[in-house]
Amino acid sequence: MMFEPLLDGFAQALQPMNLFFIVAGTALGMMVGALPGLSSPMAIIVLLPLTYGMEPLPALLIMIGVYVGTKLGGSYSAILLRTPGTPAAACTALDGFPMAQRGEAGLALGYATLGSTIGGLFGWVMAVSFVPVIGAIALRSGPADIALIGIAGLIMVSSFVRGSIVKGLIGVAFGLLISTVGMDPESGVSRYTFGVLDLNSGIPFAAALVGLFGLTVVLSDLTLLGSKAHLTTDRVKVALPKLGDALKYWRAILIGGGYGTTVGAIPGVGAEGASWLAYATARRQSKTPDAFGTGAPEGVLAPEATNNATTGGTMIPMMTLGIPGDGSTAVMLGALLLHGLTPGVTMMRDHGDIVWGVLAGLGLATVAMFILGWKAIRLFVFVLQQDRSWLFPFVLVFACLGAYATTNTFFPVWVAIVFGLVGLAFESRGFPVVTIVLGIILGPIIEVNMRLALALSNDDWTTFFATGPRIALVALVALLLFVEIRQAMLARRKDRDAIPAEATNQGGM
Amino acid sequence: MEPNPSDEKDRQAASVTLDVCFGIALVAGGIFALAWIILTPAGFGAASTSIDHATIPIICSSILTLLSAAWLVERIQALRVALRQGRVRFRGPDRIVWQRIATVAGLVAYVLGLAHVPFWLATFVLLAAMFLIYGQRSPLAIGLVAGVGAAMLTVIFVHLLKLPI
Repeated sequence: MMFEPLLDGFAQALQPMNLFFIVAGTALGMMVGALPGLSSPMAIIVLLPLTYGMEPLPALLIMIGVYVGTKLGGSYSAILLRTPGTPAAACTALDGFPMAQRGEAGLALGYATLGSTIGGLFGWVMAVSFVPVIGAIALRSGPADIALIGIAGLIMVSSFVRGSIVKGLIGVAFGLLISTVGMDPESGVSRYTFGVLDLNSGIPFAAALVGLFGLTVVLSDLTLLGSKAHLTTDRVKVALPKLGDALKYWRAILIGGGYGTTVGAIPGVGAEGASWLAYATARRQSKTPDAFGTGAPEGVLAPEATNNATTGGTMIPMMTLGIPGDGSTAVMLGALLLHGLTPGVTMMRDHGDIVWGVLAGLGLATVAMFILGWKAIRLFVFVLQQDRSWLFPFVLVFACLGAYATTNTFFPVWVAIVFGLVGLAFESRGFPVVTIVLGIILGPIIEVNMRLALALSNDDWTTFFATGPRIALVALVALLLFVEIRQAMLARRKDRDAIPAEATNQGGM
Repeated sequence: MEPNPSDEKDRQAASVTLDVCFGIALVAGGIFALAWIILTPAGFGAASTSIDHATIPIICSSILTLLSAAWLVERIQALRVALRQGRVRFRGPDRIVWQRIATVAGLVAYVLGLAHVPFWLATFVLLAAMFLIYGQRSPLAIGLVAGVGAAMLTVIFVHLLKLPI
């Protein structure tokens, strides 16, 4: 039953133009991923204005390609420069760089390519298996369930992002507050519009994303200008390991795939945290844990399998619940809205063809990534060595055009510039901007569904505890908060006992 | 070269001071948002449930204020410790700060300029100015890349995608 719509999805994704978009997006993603500091959300933001005129599926396919490609691209600079191209590739450097130093750069890149591909396909199989199941369950869920899933997602984002839960929650609260700007849909009361008519329909979502993911990145990465990359080797060629050699490390690949898919499916956590978890677990499970950190192939395979498996994991909440798994899927959700599609529990029912087309595209992008990574590595390494001062001005123009094209007026461009500065302020003090973005996205979902749930239950708040799954969700939220607050208090007590000098450079609770 | 320990402590003290300033801004923003929504009249539209137009903003601004205040207190304590070790010494704006200011100024000028000059011209000027600000020094390379870039963007967005800009 599942195969028919999947085959239809492949039929759509394999149309020549769609296939071209997948491959082009993947290649672009690998280039962006190879450049430290540039991220997948930023690349997708840059593409937004180009995709406005497209049909929704091709627009999403090119974004999926970018999303998949950046995951492997990030490992190139991690292995060759010891500077991860993406945060998710940070622990690839721990073993990839030592391998490169002892003259095995090609083999390290080969393990990264193979690990990413197998992990990506693992995540894809999980996504294809679970999206229809969870989609069917989600269709039966009520507004109270959706509101609680949204709240649980925000708490998880706050708990798992780098930094601390306090910083995470501050970001989330700020994002939620931003999402309330505009005319209240029920009472018509204007909230935080300050008499600006353009704000009556709320903060333009795409413009906020352009600011937070596009302009903020350029403004904060100006520190990287002028730095020339010095690679460990001049001649870079991928040496794929023999399948038998790679399969010796099946445990590391499986751990990576499992963590990537599972953690990727948790809203907001993304690949960054998952790859460290997988690395630590693979090390514990390894017969030679001491080899980790000195150039062990498992130390490359586990994180690379993880960060590509997250691409499948994040698709599960995005396609079934309209909840993004990370920054890139948040931007893709924004693109869905701009193309007139409503992400959420009805997505599978109303636009099943697009869901299956995207899932097929995810699998194809993973295959394209493997071929490009294997055969065109020199192109990405060439890009990796280029100075960003030629690139950033174009990102600025694309960001302005992306914001402008949402309404064909200049108001969203001003909004993007303001959010670029706000994002820079938050980033520079160690607050991850992804929490703000998820607050902005999930805010309206939570508010509308809470109101609907109360309206359907005659304003009875016990509706939020009325079923087993709802009690489980509330318990999960309470547990996460309890654990995080306890940890914060313990850390605080430890800080107080520690040397005073150390307390000054922690940057927060 | 090894960093001077005294400079490092001064740098930490300056960083914690910026944390404190940011914390104050967050608390002030939270209080403002809370006061604004409480003081806004409900109007004629009555809410059908106990969640009205102000409920979510009140909850969010309260959380923002309380957590920001907690973070601020922690940062103030850290600042006291830091001040025992070093001095808050801000140097004048460095190259990065000037580049950031120039980037934002360039964007503002670009958006204002687009209302008065053709897209290709405004884009050419922005690209060339940014290349220069970001450290490129070859006039030929700057002119060539900005010219070709502006031309390609004009063809793609103005002529092919028909963006009314």
